[in-house]
Amino acid sequence: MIFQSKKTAWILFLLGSFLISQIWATETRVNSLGGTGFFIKDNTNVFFFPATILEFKNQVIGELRYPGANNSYTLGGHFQMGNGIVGVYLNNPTWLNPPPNDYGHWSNVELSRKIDVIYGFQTSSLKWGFRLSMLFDRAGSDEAGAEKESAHYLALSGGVSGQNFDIGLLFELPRLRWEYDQANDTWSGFGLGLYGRYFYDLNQTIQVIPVATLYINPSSTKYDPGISGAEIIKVDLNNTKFSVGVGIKYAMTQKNFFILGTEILGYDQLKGSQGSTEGSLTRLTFPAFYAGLETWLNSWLIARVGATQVYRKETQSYKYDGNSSSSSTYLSGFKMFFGLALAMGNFQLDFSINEKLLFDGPNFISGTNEPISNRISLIYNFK
Amino acid sequence: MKMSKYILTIILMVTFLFLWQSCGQSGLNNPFGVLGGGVNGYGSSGIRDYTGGDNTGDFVGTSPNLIGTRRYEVFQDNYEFYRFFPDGRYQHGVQVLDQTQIIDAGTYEVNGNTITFYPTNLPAYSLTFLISGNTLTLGDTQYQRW
Repeated sequence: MIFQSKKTAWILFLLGSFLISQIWATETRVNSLGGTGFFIKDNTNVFFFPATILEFKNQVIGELRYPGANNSYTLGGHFQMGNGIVGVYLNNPTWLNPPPNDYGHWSNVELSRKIDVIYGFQTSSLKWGFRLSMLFDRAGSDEAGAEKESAHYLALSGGVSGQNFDIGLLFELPRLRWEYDQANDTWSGFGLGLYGRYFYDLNQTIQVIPVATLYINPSSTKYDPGISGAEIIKVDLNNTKFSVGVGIKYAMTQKNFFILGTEILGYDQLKGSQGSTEGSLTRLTFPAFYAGLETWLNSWLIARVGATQVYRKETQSYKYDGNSSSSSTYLSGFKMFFGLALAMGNFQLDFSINEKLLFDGPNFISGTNEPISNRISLIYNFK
Repeated sequence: MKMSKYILTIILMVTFLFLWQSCGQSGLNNPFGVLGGGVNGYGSSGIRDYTGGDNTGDFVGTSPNLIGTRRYEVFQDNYEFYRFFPDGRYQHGVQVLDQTQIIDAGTYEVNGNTITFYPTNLPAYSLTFLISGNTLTLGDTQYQRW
């Protein structure tokens, strides 16, 4: 007998299960759980709440977001360094889509993928974390007067976490610039975000999680043709978002749970103005539901089901030379997600499952060329 | 009554109120809010989108993802384009010397990284997609925002 007693075997089994349970985390996971990232503890939280990196130490993470597209992949790692944890992510998406340029001035550079460096440490009762994100892209010749384009992105984020709460603060500076001889075209501004959540234990199985977010991002595009007397065209843009919601987590067991996140109110407005002309799009979410179920089918297979139901009012408004118009549309949508994860020791693979294959069957039955998985995440814990 | 029951009762009341206000709507094929859903699992909280809507000179975008028009230059001044509307409709066509011709149009549905098109004049078909900046990779073709 390998173990001296059944008790020892059980202790080792439970310890092993506990260690595995600590490494559940990835973008694919929160996606498969209905996009409930703000309501659950997951290693993707570190981008909003940098101090949470202390809960996810000694990991290597790979995100494969699109089949076969290397530029959609991210590799990251969290490493112990002294009393703190350092995290590094390569080729991480900024999730930033800059304003289009009518002249194609920013078509050869991208504000898409950044490098993240995160550092977290603990004081007596609080955890602290900081994130630095940067991106630099450039195209064109360095010769004086030649056409050139550049993209810059710099973000600083700080956070503090306690036993039951997480707070994160974000400051970011995106910038795109095109230059040709005396002419130049620039988009720049700043973003400021504040994110918070609290885990309130109602009892041993139910946890209530209030969440609030705020984000503002004033920016402007400015086109200077570089010709004396020619008009400089400037467009001011402003993005404001805030949301409040509450999640309820029901833990069936230590490892199996159901989460229901309700977005009570979500406000997302993008506003643009050029001289006396103004346009805006306001998306009011009231309410939205994000639900996810995670359950261990056995010691190495985890199943996930998620769903989102969103109710939204979209209002487009215009003002032009004193005239104004406004129109609203009411929209709603429902979607389900399926995921599977394989846990093999300290290694875990998360799959987002294409549910169409559940209906149609694989290629040898239906002839479909659709992939079985939409995205894959992998994680290795080297404790 | 316990505090927990108060909280649950209030949540249920607010939920029913909003559902009553919102019932009977449709058309959101890629449902996400500010707090949740979405491609990154955190809704639009982590997404900043300034892309144009539908080539009408709007200042604002209507979705962090597909909405709007993107085109691919087949050869000089000849374009193939896809136009996605926020209500779930799409148009696929070509533009030759500013003359536009629609090849297929209907509704579309997003499922992970796959779009399924349901044209009114053709059988349904699916393509994988990736959005990076202004570039939409649809199948093997890269379309630029128009």
